[in-house]
Amino acid sequence: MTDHPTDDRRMTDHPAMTDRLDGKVVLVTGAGAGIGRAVAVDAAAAGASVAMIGLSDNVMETAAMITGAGGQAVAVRGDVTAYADVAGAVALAVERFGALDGVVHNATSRYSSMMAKVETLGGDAWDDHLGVSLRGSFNCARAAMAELVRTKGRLLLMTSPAAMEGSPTLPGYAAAKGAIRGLTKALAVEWGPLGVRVNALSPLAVTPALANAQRENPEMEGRLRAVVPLGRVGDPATDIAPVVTFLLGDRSAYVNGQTIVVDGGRYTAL
Amino acid sequence: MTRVAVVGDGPAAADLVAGLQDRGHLVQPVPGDGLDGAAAVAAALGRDGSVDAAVWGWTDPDSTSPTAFGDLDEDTWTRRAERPVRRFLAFLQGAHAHFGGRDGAVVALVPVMSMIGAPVGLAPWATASEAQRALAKVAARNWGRIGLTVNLVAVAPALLAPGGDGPWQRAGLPAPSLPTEPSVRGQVAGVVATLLSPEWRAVTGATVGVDGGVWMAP
Repeated sequence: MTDHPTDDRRMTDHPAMTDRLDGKVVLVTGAGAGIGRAVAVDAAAAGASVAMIGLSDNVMETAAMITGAGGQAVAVRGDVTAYADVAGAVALAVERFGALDGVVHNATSRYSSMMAKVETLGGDAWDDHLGVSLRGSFNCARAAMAELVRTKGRLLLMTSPAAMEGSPTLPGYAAAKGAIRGLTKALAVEWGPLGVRVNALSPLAVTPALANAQRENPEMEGRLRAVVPLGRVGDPATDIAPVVTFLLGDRSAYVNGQTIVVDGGRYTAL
Repeated sequence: MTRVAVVGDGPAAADLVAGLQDRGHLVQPVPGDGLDGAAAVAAALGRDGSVDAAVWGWTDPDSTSPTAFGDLDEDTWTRRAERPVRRFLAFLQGAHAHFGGRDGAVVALVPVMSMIGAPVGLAPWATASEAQRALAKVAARNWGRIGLTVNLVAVAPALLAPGGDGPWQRAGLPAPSLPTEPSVRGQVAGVVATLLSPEWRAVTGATVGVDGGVWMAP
């Protein structure tokens, strides 16, 4: 038998792989609403045990949704900018479910949709962007590294086209999300030999932050629809979460160091 | 002749200054260490009168020290990954204040590894550099209307960390396509000077790779 991918037996004799996450344990940050909640629910529906950390009690609601549907979930209130909180969530996941196979750092700054200018950016908003997105990524990676190496797990970080194309109105958000792409590639190189896959996902979906932005700027929804070739803004549950579940599962085992853009074809420059 | 301020320290900045002077520019060196805050940047850029271009050639020497990710603590991460981003924002803000609504050019040097994956131990530097690239693109989109361009030149990391102990390139990358490795005083300064020329005033938000043809954008 050769290693050639078209070898008949290679095509047919591999172990059956599915998008199921049975037996896996996943930690999701920012799981109290929007994409984070959808990711947690979808992972649980695929069989994963899900640990969550979030700033508000909403994350407990997400856990209740999952357990109410027969899934396994645990949630803790915490701040991803605080290493102790993230390490505590990792420890909780391992204590409750016995391992940690994947981390999805979805939490983003509460200032994500707040428009600003480069020349005046600063203060709390700037600190929060760097804190939640960037230091939060560092905290997740640092706290989970030992477990992810042990399980040959996955780290998934959320980025944005705001970084790749330079959003004119979201400089702090763009900088933090750009930083995440640099970290993703670097960690993919550094952790690949350890068996850990690190990727970034760039979603376009109707999140609470985007909904807020649309309330402030009612024309935004129509403009967004017009620039998405598929003609609609994505749904966190049906458009984004399944891709995350795929990236957490065995069928994406050879995907590493990539930015996966899930936006209906709006951004095609990669 | 163009008046150019070059922010930076060490051999890379010195070579950039020399390379721009070789090409007829009047260059004002601006020490990068200790240059903290937009007001300080604006004051430093205007020290000898107004300039036509501001070039960021500063690399935090702390960021170029390879440390395995598992050995990074929060303080080291903050110094190497976050502080350079904050300082680059201050540079952009100071440059914007200095230009005060007139046209001009901003150019920044970044390590090419941020786009292609850093070698083991340099994740914080790559992280900071990608944040800087994103900020530069945001600035380019906003400031184009006043004729202020913002571009980046991506170079081999070794050029920005002379004397460091590397390794500066991750395994598995293609070999350089060109037979001669670029130098800061030679090819890098040449590309920076080109970005400042009238013929290139329609280019903004771009990252120009000057790495001998290792990185080729997808």
